[in-house]
Amino acid sequence: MLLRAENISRRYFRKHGEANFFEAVRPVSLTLESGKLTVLNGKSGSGKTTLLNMLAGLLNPSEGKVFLDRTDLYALGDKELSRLRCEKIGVIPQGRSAVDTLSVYENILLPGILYGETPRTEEAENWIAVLGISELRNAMPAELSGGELRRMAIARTLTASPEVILADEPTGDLDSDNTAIVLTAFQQAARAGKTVLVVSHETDAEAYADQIYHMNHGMIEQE
Amino acid sequence: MKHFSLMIRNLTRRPGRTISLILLTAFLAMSLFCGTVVVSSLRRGLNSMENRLGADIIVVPAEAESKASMKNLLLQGTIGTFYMDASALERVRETEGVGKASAQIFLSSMKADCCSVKVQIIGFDPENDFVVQPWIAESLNHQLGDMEVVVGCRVETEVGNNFRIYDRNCLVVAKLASTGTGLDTAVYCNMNTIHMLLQAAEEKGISHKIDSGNDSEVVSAIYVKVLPGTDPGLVNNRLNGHVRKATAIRTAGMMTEVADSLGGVSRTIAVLIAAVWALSLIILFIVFSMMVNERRRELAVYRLLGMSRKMLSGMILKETALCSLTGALCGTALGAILVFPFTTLIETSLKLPYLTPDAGSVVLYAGIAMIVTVLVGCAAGSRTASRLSRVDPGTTLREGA
Amino acid sequence: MKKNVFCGILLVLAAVIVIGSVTVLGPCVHEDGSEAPCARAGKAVFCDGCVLAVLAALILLIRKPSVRIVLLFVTLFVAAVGIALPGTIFPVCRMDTMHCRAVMQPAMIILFASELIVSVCGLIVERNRIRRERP
Repeated sequence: MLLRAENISRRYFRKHGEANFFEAVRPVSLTLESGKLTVLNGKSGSGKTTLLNMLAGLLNPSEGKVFLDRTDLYALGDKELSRLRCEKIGVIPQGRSAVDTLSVYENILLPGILYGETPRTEEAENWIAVLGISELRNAMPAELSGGELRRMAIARTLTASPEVILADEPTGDLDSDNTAIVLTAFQQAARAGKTVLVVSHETDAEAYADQIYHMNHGMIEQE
Repeated sequence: MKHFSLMIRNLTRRPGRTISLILLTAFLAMSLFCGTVVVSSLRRGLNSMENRLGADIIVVPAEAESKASMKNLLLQGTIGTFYMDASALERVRETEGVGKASAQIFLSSMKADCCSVKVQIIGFDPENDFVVQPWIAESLNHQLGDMEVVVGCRVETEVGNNFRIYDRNCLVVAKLASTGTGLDTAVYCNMNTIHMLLQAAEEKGISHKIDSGNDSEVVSAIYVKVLPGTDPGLVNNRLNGHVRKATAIRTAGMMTEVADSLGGVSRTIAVLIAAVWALSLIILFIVFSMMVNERRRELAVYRLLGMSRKMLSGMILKETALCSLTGALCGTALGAILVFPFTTLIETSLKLPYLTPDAGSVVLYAGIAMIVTVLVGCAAGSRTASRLSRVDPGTTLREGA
Repeated sequence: MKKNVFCGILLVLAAVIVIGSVTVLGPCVHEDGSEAPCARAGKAVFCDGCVLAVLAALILLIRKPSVRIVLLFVTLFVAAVGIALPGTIFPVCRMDTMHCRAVMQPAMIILFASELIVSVCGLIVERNRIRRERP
């Protein structure tokens, strides 16, 4: 699946400061092809997460359009866009993203059951084992460390097996062994035909990338 | 795991929040149900009393206590024993405007073997009585014979049993339906029987003669029905002038007093219910407002994973409805436990006629209390549901990253 | 924590029964000081309440699960007996406007029934806890 951004930008209104508007992302055009792992790096505050959220259909661009194949994401109603995101786009956000009232296993199966589908238990078991969180399957998120929560979120996305995977700092809380496991999994997903974007300010991911973009002050350039 | 299971997990794994919501809605339902049942019971008791009185005027002995005793007898079943000369009956019948007049004689037992306390015994003339006889005829298909008694629903004995008063055996031939008035604790007999019991009481040293010392027959109260088209007030005044050593009381006046008291109690109950509801609703809104901050991250995750705003607000509303329904059920059940087993206590405390509604009405009141509570709970939660469904997952999840 | 909540409730209910049976929820008192027919019912309720209070205190203090289960069963039985005490096992006054019929009997039945329900809940919680902890 092709994820394409055409001149998307994002401005925020500023109450205080020198200018009225802050441009988190300046007009950006970007194409993420299937079968490729793309890495977007840059310093903190460069606009990476804002760009990722716009690509994921979570944040309406101030200008421009985002297409998933031929579908203009932001022309869809909330109901259609939400369903599309559930089925086609998997997002691993930067922060903590667990539902505290569900166990680890239930969190991992969650995307599959939102629209009444059969839970993907086999895939869940596989990714729990690969990511090394088997003993934590019945634990509650409050009992997990940051790294364990991160692996749970990754297992959740990989279990759902969407066509597009957008990961924001997926290896931030992980040690080197787990970092390698996660990045290998993303690479394998890309080889299997998925469209994968990894946003990171660390350099580890670049070794696994098919293409690398660099973001600075809201502008993007390809390396 | 289906959506319903998801909802149940959300509720059971946040027990503090869930129990708070359930308790609040339980209070709402309980106050509404209890208040409705009590007010309805008071109204039914008032109607029942009005139906049972049957007379326009009651003539009692002139002593000031007699009027109060008569009222207490009717309302609470307090034993009343007061007497006047039986000639008063003829004088009442002669008074212009009087259509029917019927006398009753009151007696109190020492202790009947049904009870640990005294009971009120009321003798009446089945031939010309129009107050008690129509009511007794609902339970007894023949005229009350000598040494036969009919008991109120609260007298602890059964039809066919012997009822011992002043060492005289009387046969219980009928038990009356509940009226919610003091008459439920009374025992009724004909004039021959009451005269025999008066005699038996004399033998025990308990005198029921009037102070004049005349060895004449006595009556306790005379019930009067005025001629159609006649002003009861006018007849009341005539009776007060015509019948010596007696006071005529208009039953309408007595009913108005009771109705005023009932109105006062009903208003008090309404104010209490309003206060409980106001307080509970304020706390409910506070709990829902706190929920917005508490659940923001959790719901941002649901949005991130692809739950639409409509699905999200639907889930929150369903959780709220489930809590409200559970609370409403518990509250109504608790209300029923408070109101029905303690009916007698409520009645004696309020000192007003009190007749609990029939089963159908109770079910209706329970249903209304539950529906109103669930609707109010959902309405209170709808604003929160709407706010939470608009949570921005990107920004929210990034906070505290 | 959960088990202590149930024990606490059992203890509070038992205390209400004991204190209530000698005060506002007690049997009738005759003006002449003679004993009312419901006096024995009142004493029986008081004794039953004391037994329940002792059982609740023991459940709170004892940690061994098997003993606690036995004590909960005994509590259930004693509470069930308590429901039948006023009116069925021991007589109460016959006029339903008497204090024992209007207040004592319904209040005690409700309190003993609550004890019974809470002890059943306690048994379920205790049994589930034992099953979870079993290796």
